[in-house]
Amino acid sequence: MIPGHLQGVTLYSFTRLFHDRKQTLESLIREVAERKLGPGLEIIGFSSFRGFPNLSPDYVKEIRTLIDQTGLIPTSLAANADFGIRRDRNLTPQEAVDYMAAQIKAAKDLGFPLVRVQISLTPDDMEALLPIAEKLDVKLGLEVHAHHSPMDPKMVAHRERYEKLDSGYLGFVPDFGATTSAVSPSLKEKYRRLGIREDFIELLDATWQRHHLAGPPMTDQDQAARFGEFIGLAHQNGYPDLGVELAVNLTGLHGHANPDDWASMLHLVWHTHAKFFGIVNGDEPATDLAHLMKVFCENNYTGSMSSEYEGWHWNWWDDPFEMVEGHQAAIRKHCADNGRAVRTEI
Amino acid sequence: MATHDTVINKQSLSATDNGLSLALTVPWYRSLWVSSVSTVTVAIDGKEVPQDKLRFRINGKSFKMEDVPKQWEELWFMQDRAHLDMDLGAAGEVGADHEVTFHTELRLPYMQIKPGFYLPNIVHQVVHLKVQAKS
Repeated sequence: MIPGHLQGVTLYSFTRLFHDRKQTLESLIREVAERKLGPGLEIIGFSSFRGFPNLSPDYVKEIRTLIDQTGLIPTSLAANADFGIRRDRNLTPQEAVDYMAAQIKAAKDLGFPLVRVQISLTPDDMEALLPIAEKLDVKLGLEVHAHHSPMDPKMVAHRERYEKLDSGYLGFVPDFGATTSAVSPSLKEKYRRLGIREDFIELLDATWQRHHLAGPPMTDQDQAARFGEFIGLAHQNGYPDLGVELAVNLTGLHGHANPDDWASMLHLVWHTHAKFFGIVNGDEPATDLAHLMKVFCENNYTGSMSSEYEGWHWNWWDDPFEMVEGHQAAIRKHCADNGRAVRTEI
Repeated sequence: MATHDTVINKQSLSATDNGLSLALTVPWYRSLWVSSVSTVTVAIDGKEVPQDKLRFRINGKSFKMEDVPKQWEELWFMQDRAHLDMDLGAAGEVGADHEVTFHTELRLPYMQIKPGFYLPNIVHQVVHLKVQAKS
């Protein structure tokens, strides 16, 4: 078989354990290595590193030594574009560049070859960051996350700019939440466990299906309308406190694009978020892995891929490590069906 | 309970020399700048504690509530606890039970929905807590 992508995981999958202080950064990294969920390792800077992005040389050395000991390979450091940290105004373009540059520098120091950035950055912002990325030899990947999609006009504008610049440093991080095929069964299970009426759960599902048939929202107004629709449904059905949560989960995590659309940007992808919500009977019911892996294999994708377990938001009953193990096994199988051997060792 | 809807737990309330203190977990999946905290209100046994009797303590510093949204260079690390110090005019009684009504609203600084408007996260918890010894 032909070598395929590099298997990996993001520590975001284990957020619940970290937030509850049941695991430390060190214990999570060691457990990922022991369970062979790597070798690729992705970390969110603002989640995992105290003091991020201003890290002392001693702390950086400690983290690098730990990762080296485990044999894991840093793949992506997820950055955040916090342009609203001040209350009197948004950061100026120069402040925004400086804010991102500090995180790119931290990624370089920690040994990460790529920084995941977010859509609040414009093509101009990305071009302004390019000299920093080139100087530090760190690639930048703009995450394509629901509700956006590969064909969203904003993403197309980024792609056209990256193609024009042809730098080898500006690209995308596809997130499989943009191309879901169903509402996750574990999300519906959560609402059942909370005692939410079945007819309301079915109404939510039917509403999501209607949006799915229409395809991803192509404007901010379309997205706002769908977001508002779920809030309205919650109010009309006696669950006003659930409104925002439902809207976020059903428009911001369960996106409507076709997996085929990833092909338009895979020439600019070095790292991927294999977002998933749960494993049932050895496969992922909400992200069509057979379809997704066919697209990635046919386009000869050989970058890194993090299993990103998002079900932890609502699933308090399953073990996130077992979920990731199941997800990676399913991905390996679907890649093998396409003649590709997922790389699980250096 | 998930990361976005949990701020306090059974061990959060402790006694101080002039009242009580609540240990707070950041209700999000990542660390946030303290300026992300828009409002905090707390009531003990149904009686709201005035804002000028509250202090928000983190990273070895203590802030007046009105100054909390201005702290955009102070990070609330995900595994650290901020402390809401309440001046109740008398020392807290270790072992006493109280009903704590806690409400906070965050502004997520990277989720701008429309110009100048950021996605909020609102957390409301009503819990019965036993006062722990001074932490």
